[in-house]
Amino acid sequence: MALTRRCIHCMAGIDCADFCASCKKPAFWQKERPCDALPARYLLCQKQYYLGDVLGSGGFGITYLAWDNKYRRRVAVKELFPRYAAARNRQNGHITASEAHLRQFLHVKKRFCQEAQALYELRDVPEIIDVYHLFEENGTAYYVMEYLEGRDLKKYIGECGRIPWTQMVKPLTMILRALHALHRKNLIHRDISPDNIFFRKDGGAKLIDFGSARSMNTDQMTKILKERFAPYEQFEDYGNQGPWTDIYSLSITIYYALSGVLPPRATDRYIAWKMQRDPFGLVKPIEGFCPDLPSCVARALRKGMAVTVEQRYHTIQEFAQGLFPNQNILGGQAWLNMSPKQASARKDTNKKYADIREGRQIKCIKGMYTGRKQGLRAGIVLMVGRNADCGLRYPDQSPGISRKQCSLMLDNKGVLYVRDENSTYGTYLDGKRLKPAVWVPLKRGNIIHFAKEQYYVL
Amino acid sequence: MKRVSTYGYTNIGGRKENEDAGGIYIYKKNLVAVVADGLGGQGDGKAASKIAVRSLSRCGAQGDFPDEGTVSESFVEANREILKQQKNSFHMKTTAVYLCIQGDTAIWGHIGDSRLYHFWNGELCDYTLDHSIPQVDVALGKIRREEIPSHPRRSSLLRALGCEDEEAQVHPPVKLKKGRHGFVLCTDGFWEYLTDQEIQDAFCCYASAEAWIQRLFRIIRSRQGADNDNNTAAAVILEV
Repeated sequence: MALTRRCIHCMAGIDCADFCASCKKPAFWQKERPCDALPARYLLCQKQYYLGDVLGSGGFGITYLAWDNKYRRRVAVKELFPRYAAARNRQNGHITASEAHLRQFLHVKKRFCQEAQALYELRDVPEIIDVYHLFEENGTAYYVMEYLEGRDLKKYIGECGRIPWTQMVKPLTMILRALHALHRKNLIHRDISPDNIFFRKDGGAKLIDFGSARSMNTDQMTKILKERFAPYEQFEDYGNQGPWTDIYSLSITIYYALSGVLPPRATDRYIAWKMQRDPFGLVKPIEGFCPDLPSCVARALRKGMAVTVEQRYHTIQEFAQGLFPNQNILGGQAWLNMSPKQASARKDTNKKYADIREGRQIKCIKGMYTGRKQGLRAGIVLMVGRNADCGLRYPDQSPGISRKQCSLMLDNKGVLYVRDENSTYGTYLDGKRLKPAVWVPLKRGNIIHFAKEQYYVL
Repeated sequence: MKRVSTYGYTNIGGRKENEDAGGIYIYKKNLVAVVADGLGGQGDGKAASKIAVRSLSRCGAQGDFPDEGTVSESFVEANREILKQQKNSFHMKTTAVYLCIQGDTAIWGHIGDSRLYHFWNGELCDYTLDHSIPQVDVALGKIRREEIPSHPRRSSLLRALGCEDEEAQVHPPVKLKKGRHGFVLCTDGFWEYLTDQEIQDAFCCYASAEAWIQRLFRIIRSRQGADNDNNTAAAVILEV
């Protein structure tokens, strides 16, 4: 069939002259479309992708329904288009960043591609949306994903109301598996909410929208934080984020789905907890909305929604065990479906634990050495700074970094310590300035920062 | 209500666009003031703040004094109008602060970090709390209120019009005691250069709303940098 005969609303054919035989919509009618979107019937990537309706549009970009002419399938094409930083040339469709925002645009494009790459590596996980292809065109980046039929949880609740626990079990199990796979790759979603959980028509569920929106936030604009599902540590400058962050957001999402009520913002809950006005942080127990809910689920949700990281579950495994005690939600099915690559990755995980007994690592998550891991071995002090004898050395022209900035030490019991070496601008642990010359123990998930450098303790 | 004096202004500051908006409306029974600070850049903020002011100014335009529910609903309606416009202007969001006075009764509401200050007989007696990260740090005792302007996350708002889960904060109606009352509604470009004491002192020194605000604007001008934010204020002084 000629591409032009393909319906832009459903990507099935048009048999009749004026109406699509599949979706019955008028052939030449166009759904409302953002004025800066690529036009319907536009061809991307050497005519491989034929664009249809806009499925979604936001500050970070636009998602289009499309037909993949090479593999003969419906797909969704996500286009990176940060509107605050770039504009589209209507003549040729090119996206050009404004001069003032060029650096940001390039940074955001890099993050977009990294996330697409991470999703691509998770393509064997059935509970995570598949990414097929990443490419650049029109001065920006695109990634091509599987097209999902169904609706997200937010729409589902809007149309059908609260969801009984019995109906939540299957999709929730799948989301837990998705997060488990993600966390094993050292990734955090950071934006779990009803918008990003997709209920498929066949009854399954998938996790979608992997953090692109968050990475688009910049410091130069006033930011509105999507705070109803975000835990308190996401509001802090150097908040201790990890798998527990996703656990909080997922717990709030489940609470909302079961009760139809959104709990108060994490900031308000945190204040209430701190002032000891309400030890449960202003949230009415879920049993009040769902008296038939299994008590283990209610307990697990309460712990998942705990205001502080210390009180919360730290891993998806613990959370899953709390929700479904004595059931191997994550281990069974996932293992059976695991590809050889995943199985060998599982063996690698065991190897990683073996490495931890011999040494520890910190990972640079921001700054000059972003992405680099630094190992530490018991009994050896690692000096960080501009001095030539520093094990982790910064160039002489590194603003804000002292000649001897800080030191790290791993003792024989495997406990890692940090110490500020009387640096000029200080060394910070989770946002708090360290007292000079005092060893402070570290735990996994702590963030050390000095000047513009940030290190995550693995 | 014996004597009423009102004044409002908006200034572009050092920016290319003025995304603030405001207005003072004297209706048959009510006096209404609204100020809004648009966010989003590329002109979206300007459109958002204008929509907010236009929409909120309708609350109290006809008939009786609006109660809390009515004011809340007005914010919801303003939010709906902005969300409708967002299809092509995704970053269209705005803060807003609203005041309505009838006789010796006042009611106000706000969302974001645009503020309302209420003075009575020379003293600051009430003010709105920002919906922002720095305000959370104040509540937790990490910083003092005076340190908000210099907080590194000054611009991190928790609420604004143009978000799907909008939630404005509405103050219950207040019976104004006998005496001289002053209200200032302002955007952050105005209050960030002033202390509460300075606003209060100027209220004590000047009889008219115009003189009061112009005094404060002179202080702001003396402290502004080259790239300072838009700044807007609306003031009402009345004797009860």
